[in-house]
Amino acid sequence: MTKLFWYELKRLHANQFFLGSLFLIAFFSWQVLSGEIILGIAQTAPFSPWSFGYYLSRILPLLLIVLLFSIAFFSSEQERQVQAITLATPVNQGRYLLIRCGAMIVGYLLLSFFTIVMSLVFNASLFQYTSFGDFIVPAVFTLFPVMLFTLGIGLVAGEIHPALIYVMMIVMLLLGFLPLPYWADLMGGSFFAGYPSELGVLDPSFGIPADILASRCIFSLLGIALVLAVARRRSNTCSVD
Amino acid sequence: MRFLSLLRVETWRLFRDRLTRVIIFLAVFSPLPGLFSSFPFALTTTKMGAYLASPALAGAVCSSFLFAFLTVKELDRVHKYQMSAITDPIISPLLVNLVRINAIMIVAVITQATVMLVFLPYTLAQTGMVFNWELYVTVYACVMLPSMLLAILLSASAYLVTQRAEISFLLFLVFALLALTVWVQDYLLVWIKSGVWVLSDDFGNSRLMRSVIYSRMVWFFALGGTGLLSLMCVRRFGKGLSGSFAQNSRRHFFVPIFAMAMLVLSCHLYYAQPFLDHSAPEIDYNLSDPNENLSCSALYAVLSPDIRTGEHFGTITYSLHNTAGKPEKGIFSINPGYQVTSVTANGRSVPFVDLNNDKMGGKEISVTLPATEEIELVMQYGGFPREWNIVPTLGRTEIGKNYIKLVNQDFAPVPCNFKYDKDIPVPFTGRIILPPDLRPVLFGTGTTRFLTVNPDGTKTWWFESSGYRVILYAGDYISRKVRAAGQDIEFLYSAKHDRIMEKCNVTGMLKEVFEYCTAHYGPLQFYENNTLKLIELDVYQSGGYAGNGASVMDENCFSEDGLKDPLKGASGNEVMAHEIIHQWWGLNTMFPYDTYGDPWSSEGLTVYTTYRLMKELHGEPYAKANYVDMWQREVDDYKNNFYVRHPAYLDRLPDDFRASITNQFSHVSQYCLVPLKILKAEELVGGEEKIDRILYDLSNREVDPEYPYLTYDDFVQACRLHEEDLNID
Repeated sequence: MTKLFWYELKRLHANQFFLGSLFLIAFFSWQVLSGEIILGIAQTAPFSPWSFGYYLSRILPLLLIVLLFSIAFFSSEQERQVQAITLATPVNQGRYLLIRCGAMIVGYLLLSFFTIVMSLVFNASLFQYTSFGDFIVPAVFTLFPVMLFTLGIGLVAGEIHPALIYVMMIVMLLLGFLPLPYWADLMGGSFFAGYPSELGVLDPSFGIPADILASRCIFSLLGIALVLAVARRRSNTCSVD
Repeated sequence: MRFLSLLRVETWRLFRDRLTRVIIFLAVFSPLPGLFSSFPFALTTTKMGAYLASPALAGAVCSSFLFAFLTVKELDRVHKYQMSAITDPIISPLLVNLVRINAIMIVAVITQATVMLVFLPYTLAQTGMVFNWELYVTVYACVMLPSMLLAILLSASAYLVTQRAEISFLLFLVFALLALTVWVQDYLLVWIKSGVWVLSDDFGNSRLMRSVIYSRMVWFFALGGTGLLSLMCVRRFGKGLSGSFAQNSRRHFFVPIFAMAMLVLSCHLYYAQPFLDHSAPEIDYNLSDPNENLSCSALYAVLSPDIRTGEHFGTITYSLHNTAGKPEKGIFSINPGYQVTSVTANGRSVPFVDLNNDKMGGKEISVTLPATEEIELVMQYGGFPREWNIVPTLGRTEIGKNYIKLVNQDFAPVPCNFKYDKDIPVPFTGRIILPPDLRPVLFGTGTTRFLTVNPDGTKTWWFESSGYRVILYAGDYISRKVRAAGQDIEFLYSAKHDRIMEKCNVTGMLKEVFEYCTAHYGPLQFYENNTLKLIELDVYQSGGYAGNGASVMDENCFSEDGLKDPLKGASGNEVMAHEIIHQWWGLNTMFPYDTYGDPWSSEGLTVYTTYRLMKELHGEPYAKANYVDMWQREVDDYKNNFYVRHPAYLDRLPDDFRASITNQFSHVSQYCLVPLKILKAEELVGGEEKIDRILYDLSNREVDPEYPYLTYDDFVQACRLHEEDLNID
């Protein structure tokens, strides 16, 4: 399985698309940092956890679209044709799907890591700020739940029809612009920009209200459940007696 | 010929393709979201903005995505089905891709034409009298259509280089998101929706549309050049990117050369943009000290704005006096876009230097004046006016067939370091040639008079004003005389707005403002024999201003929605009241000019008085919500700004960011902090009646001719308070 994992990882990410995505996301990240984040979000410092979370929420649509492209790759007509061969192998298809999900998650995390590093370099070079431990919680809060949810939804969409994955991309893009309540805002932009002002103090320490934390947990669990459901369906559909 | 026949076949195939039809259908109705005020880029201030520009912007954004998707799908068709081994030997892949891209562009053009036909009846019905055919076609042709074409070029270029549909679409997405977010303030970079931020109903939009066309040219050259270079990257003979590029370039060597030329031209156009000046981001309020040996006793100008090109030309004659007995440098302020072509003194050429020191919307020309007591200085100048870059939106200067607005150094070079005594009138007269439908109006007490019709149909007007500066507006003005609180008022507005003015009883509102201010602060002292002008300007003015003899306000102050429902919130109609109130605070009572930029200015008392008037008209809850609470919010927001609280970090910011925060302080202080202080003074002195008495006495006090200004100290002392008493937490 490990060998399969590394193979899928290489197949998915050792290509021009991933490198191109890296470059484009880097370019976009720098523009956002030097154009918006530099002024600070919600009256906080540009290197505050709130500004950092907002920065990630701006990049998130691109990261999710790359993730959806990965899902689309595995749901494409070409891959379906290859399935005729892979189905003949003794590999459990459900586990195979989970390995692929692992590869997709690694790719997403690599891109996210690169985005985070850009922010750290920006803050260190411009403001001499190096307390990067403050960014761990907002990074986890912003990146993981929505990744799991998108992965689950994307796999389900791909199972129904590959074209639906592209519809999901449009939805992800629009979510970044819609004014949603904090618990429903998957990207988290409105939370990072609006919540600090509601606390009534300047430069509040980073904290996540229970309801928003709960909603993120629900999204994560939902995503995991959907992934497992699709994996189980694949296992049952393709099981060999 | 082969290209054309292939193009015809491919275009016809595209129109029969189901996906293309779906895209066309969606694109035709893509302007619909723009009709909702919740649309992110909705322009709701004017009718043409709401029913023409907003749908065009929505269509531009949405259809760009649609056509980018279509382009990538179509170009990927051969690669996806691995047909290149069959098609490449039959027909050059370069030709195929070129034909395909052009065919998609033709589809985009036809889609645009369909959009214009579909939305025409609705736009006509909603805009009514202010509908303008030329503007309708121009907006769709310059805003929506180029967005689609640029999206096609961008996505095609990305695909031809990468040969990957996903990365091409991702690249398009990145540039689209940048244009919608980070680049949205830069009129040259906001390619996906253009820099249209408002449209005038009553006057002209020439300058804004010229800037849109200019920015489109920058992008067409950039993406056209990129597209041609990407065409050279089409894979041939099993080679990779670089091999194919080399192979194709050898065969079509002129293409990369032409492409590079286009890219260079695009860069040149970007950096040489003619619309904004190069003023430093920090505002320097310091004025140059006048030279006591130099004075000007008269100015005479002959002016001809060119409505076809948007340029302005003139010849101005100054009657100067140099009592120094030696040559002196005379400094004149001129629009940064103008060039001075010749300067003569008493018939002889004199040296002059363009200092190119753009500052606050002007630059200085230094002229070496001869050592002669009486000098007749003739200066010829002209060019395309530039606007002050501190405000990224364009359109504040207008030279077009529907409207002309020339302010101070845009009108003619202004003597800067010349002694000026406001008690000695300096006549500024001359002639200006205007289109036949435009009537000129001068800001202030100046007058105009029609002279003659010229052979080309234009009209020559005579103007008479006083002082070193003139502000001229020329539009389809009609005038109405009103008498309010014993004051004669001439109300000048666009003929298109006549029906609404009549219907909404605007003159009644004017009278209310005058009667309130006259009752509380006394009559305007200096208009005994003169009429006060109230002038409607175009929406690009964004507010208004006041001066000796006139108050001006933009057309939004007279919008039908605002006039009918004053409880909608602090609306443009209150801007009208604000500008009229400036006649009391700023003109009738003057404020120190040498502290321009400091918190204490005419704005504080004007904003406070507007609040008091609105409180009387609409009630305390309304006034508190729209004024006091808003002032406090703005002051708190500014004080809470991270960089204001930690000024040490301010130095680490780039210049333009640092300047925007510093400039914000001036605005918040004048318009929010000072009114809060006055409100606090009202509470401390014992209420509204007491403060009204104090303000009445200040407005009607005997002024010292040597220093006629009302200072903050004067106000605090009149309230029998100390400065610290008025500190706002």
